[in-house]
Amino acid sequence: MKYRNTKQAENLFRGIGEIDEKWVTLAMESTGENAAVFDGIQKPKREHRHFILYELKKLLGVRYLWVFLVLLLLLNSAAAWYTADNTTAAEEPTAMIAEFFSGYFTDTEEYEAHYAEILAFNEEQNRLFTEAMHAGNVDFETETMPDVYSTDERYSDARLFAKLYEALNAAKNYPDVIQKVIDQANANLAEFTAMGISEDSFTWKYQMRVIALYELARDNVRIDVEYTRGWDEYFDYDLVNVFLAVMILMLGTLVFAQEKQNGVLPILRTAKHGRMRTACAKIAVMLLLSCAFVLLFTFSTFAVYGIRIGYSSPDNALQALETFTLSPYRITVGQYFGVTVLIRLLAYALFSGVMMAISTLFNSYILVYLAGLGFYGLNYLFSTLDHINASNPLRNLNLVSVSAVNPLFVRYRAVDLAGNVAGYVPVMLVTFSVLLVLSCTTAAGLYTRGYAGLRPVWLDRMLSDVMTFTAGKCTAVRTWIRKYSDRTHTAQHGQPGHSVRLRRARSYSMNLIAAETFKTLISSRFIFLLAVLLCVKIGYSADVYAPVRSYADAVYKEYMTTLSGPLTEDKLEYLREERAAIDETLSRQTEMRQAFLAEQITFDDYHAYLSDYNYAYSRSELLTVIEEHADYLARQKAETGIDGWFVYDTGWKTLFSGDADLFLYTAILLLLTGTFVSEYASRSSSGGFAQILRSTKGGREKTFTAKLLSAVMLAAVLAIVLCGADIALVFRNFEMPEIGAPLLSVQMFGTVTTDITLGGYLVLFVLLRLTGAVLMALLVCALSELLARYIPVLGSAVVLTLLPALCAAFGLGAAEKINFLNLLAGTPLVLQSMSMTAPGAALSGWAMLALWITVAGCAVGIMTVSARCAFIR
Amino acid sequence: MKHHNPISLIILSLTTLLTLSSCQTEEDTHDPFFDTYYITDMGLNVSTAHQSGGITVPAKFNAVTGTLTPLCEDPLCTHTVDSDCPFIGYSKNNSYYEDGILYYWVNRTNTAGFQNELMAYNMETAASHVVVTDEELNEFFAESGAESTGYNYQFANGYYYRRLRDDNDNTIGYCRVRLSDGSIEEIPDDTVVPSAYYKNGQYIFVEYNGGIANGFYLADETGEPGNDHDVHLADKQIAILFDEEITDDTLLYCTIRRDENGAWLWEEMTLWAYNIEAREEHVVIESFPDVYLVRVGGYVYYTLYLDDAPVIGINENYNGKEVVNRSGGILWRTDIETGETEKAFELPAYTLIGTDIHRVGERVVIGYQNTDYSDYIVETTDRGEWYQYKETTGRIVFDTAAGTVGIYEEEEVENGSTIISD
Repeated sequence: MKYRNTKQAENLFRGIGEIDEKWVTLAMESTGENAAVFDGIQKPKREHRHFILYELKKLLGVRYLWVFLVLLLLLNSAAAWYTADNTTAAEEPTAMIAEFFSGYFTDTEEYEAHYAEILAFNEEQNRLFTEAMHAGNVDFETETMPDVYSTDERYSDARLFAKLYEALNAAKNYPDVIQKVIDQANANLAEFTAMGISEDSFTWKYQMRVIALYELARDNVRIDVEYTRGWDEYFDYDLVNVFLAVMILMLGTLVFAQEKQNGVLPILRTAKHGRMRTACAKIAVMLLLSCAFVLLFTFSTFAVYGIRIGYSSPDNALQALETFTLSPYRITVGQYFGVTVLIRLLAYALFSGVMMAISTLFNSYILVYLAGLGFYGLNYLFSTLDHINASNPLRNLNLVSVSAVNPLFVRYRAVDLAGNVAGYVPVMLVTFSVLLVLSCTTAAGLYTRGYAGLRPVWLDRMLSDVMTFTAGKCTAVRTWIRKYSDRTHTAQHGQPGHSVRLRRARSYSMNLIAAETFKTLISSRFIFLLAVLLCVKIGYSADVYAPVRSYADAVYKEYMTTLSGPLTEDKLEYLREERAAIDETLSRQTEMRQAFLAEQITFDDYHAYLSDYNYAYSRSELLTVIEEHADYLARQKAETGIDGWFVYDTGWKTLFSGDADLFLYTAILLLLTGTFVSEYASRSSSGGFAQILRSTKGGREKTFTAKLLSAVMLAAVLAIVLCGADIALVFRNFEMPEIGAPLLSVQMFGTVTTDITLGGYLVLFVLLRLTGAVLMALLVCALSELLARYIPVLGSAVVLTLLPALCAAFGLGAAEKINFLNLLAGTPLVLQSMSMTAPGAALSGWAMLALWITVAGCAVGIMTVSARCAFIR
Repeated sequence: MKHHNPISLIILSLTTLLTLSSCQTEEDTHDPFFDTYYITDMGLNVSTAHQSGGITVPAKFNAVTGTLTPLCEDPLCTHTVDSDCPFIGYSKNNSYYEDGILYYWVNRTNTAGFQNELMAYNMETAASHVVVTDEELNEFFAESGAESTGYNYQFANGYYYRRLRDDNDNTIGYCRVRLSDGSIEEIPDDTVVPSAYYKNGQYIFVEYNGGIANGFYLADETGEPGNDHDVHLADKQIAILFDEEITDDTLLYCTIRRDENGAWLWEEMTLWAYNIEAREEHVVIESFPDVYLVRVGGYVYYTLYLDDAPVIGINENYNGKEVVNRSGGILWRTDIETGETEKAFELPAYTLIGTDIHRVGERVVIGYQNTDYSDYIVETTDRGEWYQYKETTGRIVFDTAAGTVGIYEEEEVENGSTIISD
């Protein structure tokens, strides 16, 4: 019976899990059934699509990803709104201007006639004003012509016409502007011929390419006259890339490292499709999600700008936007918007690929995250460095510049490829595509063939050799001590000592804090990374705090040392005399030379004068700096009553103006993220160690306190060591005189109007950095308990502490007010606090500082208390 | 005839001697660049999101075609501070050109703070890089313990020389930077740097006394004077050496002479020509008040202030005062051999700038600036009103071989938002 056999076959097929047909065929053959019976069975589709869906479902099921996505979307939208709100376009009466433009095209003659009247009226007013000035009538005020078209008193007819003619002239003058570029290129070519520069040279070919591209632009681009708005401001907003980067960072950390962390990886690798197919699915999902995020953030930003400012026609030429006047691309504004989306998709696809490759290298979420953060930071550095050559590949092909898109499109840029001209846009597309393929291939390759993360065999072998050697030596020493002690005791008392009776020494500490510290530093092997970080930090600081060797500073030091101390009349007199002497010497140059040539003075006398002249000439400008400082001190005395000093402050300024210690920041993140998370991380279905821990005697309150104290202690020690290293370097390389001088003797502290000394501020400086480190440690610990997962903890810590600094760096000034790095740096927070108070209010600046720290402390405190409750219960 | 302040002329001579713009290493490596161009600056109108109006950029003037083009070869560069132009912060009169590469100092502010950097710009590839920075040179000297009150510098023979000195002008450190690779090496304090190349491996070196040049001699690259090539100006206390390329074995210099009472005649200097091979010298111009001259072929070219200058306009805003062209629009030339002086050209409508005179190959290029006192706009400020007159600048090129004159006017540049004329 065919049907029954088919049904049986179908059931059999499904019963054995729908595996390859060949096995079924083999099975049926062994039972004598004809394999053709399977012809009617619906064969399952290829299974890799399920893998993609499964991976997608897995990632989308990570709740904190959604939380961060929503949070960052909201933050981006808020930042976009704030930025849009502060543009000039946001203040314009859009409807009125649009109506004005429309009216102009309807009745051009009437509008132009009125404009001519306005010009004539203004000219007449200028003439009357000039006459009045000639006549000595300084109180004369010009009149303003009443508005005809404007209905908004903030935006006069004159401004409306200025806006209109700006658009008209932009359209009209565009061909001339481009022609100038072409003419300049042709002029360069003419000069190259004269200079003997070869036609095969890059610079020759570059000129030819520019001519070709811009001739096309000149002849084909047509700019419509319209009231353009919204697009320039939208394209200029690149802060969205920071939020996208944070999101991709988090996602990329999760994709491959997840299985490593939860211990499933070895099992997964043994499954039939647990290697390449899984890797491909993961990569596909990662790229899919990164695309989704890019589109989400891009369109939400677009919507915000649209709501706040609005957009003009997307069909106008890109060159209608002032920023893109020199763009060689013959596309519309709307098409450029599409280009920005596509390029951003490519850029973040590459970042995703890099993150995936990194996540297959390391075992630990923390290392993956920090490595990814470091990669982004490096790209940011390349985008901000002042490169000499505008066509430098590092400047143009880094992730930050490419994702901003504008730098590649505002004008034509090319790179020299073996003497040939290659535009940066195609080079970028090819490079990023190749790198994307490479990174994905690397990720897949390492995942399928790699070991359990980056604990290279050679490192582990080296560590175990060291530990074995050390343990052996310790044992040998303990044994010798025991034997010696026993021998001595036996000789004295006739019986062995305690050491014999002890079967085994305790090798673990009963002190919880010590145990937690050991766990944080030693068990995790992070102490080695920390050591590397410290070495890099010291090398970096040695370079940053290298002594200043310049003539100007040597003279500055000489003057400040001579005048050292409070401003007195004697010192002012000294300055006056010095200035008079310098001026007098300089003025005698002609006279002395003539006297020498007329043999009225000897050569020795003249030579002596030349020495004075050199002195005067080289010091005149430098003395001005000292005189200005004297004026500053006098002003401060008058305004605040504080006697500032003359202090050689180069070293003090170098020390106090340092940025936040990112090495300390990284070390705290590295060490403390896993403080509580490690207790929840599990490689089995039975859950983490936290449950067991809570059941032990000191496993709740005591353990929580111990963890917290250990973390605080580590952070404090790190802060003191790193800050101490900086201070030691500065004190070694610079003179640091007058530690008792008032702080405002150093002009950068001109707003600090209390009588704190340099020494006092040094203590405060260290305390601020220490406080910042401790607060950050508490914050990370609290997050570690509250979120209980590495990636959310890392992501939250970065969002709360680093994101405001990044936003401020990308132009969002308001973010500076909540920039946590200012506290880690110390001085920026002090200066910010002082600047937010009224002048003359002596204590309010310190009160602001205390308020900042209190608010931060309270916020961290609340989180810590919540964490305590969560851990204990 | 009026004259310039001789003190300023002597200072100029010292400056000229100290800041050479070219010095050849071999006889037949005369750089053809300077047969066509000289380096100057030009005004440009720019309009960017960050800057608008007139700016000045370093440029090269082609004396053959009369074209003035920016040194920066990127036609899309706006040459403003936000443009990454390699010539931002370019320090005028502090450059050196050799083998297609322009070396120049820039003063710029970047993420590292305020820095002086010696840049190299390849005219063929348009690539630029930093050769050495002020900070590196300071560190180099600091390592050897030298702390100076100032320094002198010089480009020569493919090197950049820097001499640290103290308040008494004693050398306390001396180094040179190889321009090809930026390597810094210390050199002896008594190293002398040649002023110009003569021929056959011989250079012209200048002797100083009390900071004043008072002699010169020939020597090889080491600067050690040979006995048979010493040349001293025994009876001349002051020498101003014209250290352009030596042609026809003749070196030019100016001296000041005394009158019968022994007093120095400041208003009348003498131009001498010294034949190095023949070791003979003769007076070219007995009484010569000006040192802004260039030598082309067998002539020296210069401008003079005229007592009876032609009237070229009336300044109505200044009580109808007559405006004169002090140079008369005349370029003079004197035959080095015979001392005969004649007019190379006369263009009374052009106010020549006597200090802006250059030799470019076989051509003389001289700048001019004409002011039209009838075309002006009134600017009113807190200090009152002032008149901004229309000024026209440009260059006149005199081809000494063809005897032709070319006049090349510079493009008008906006001054902020004010357009001088339509």
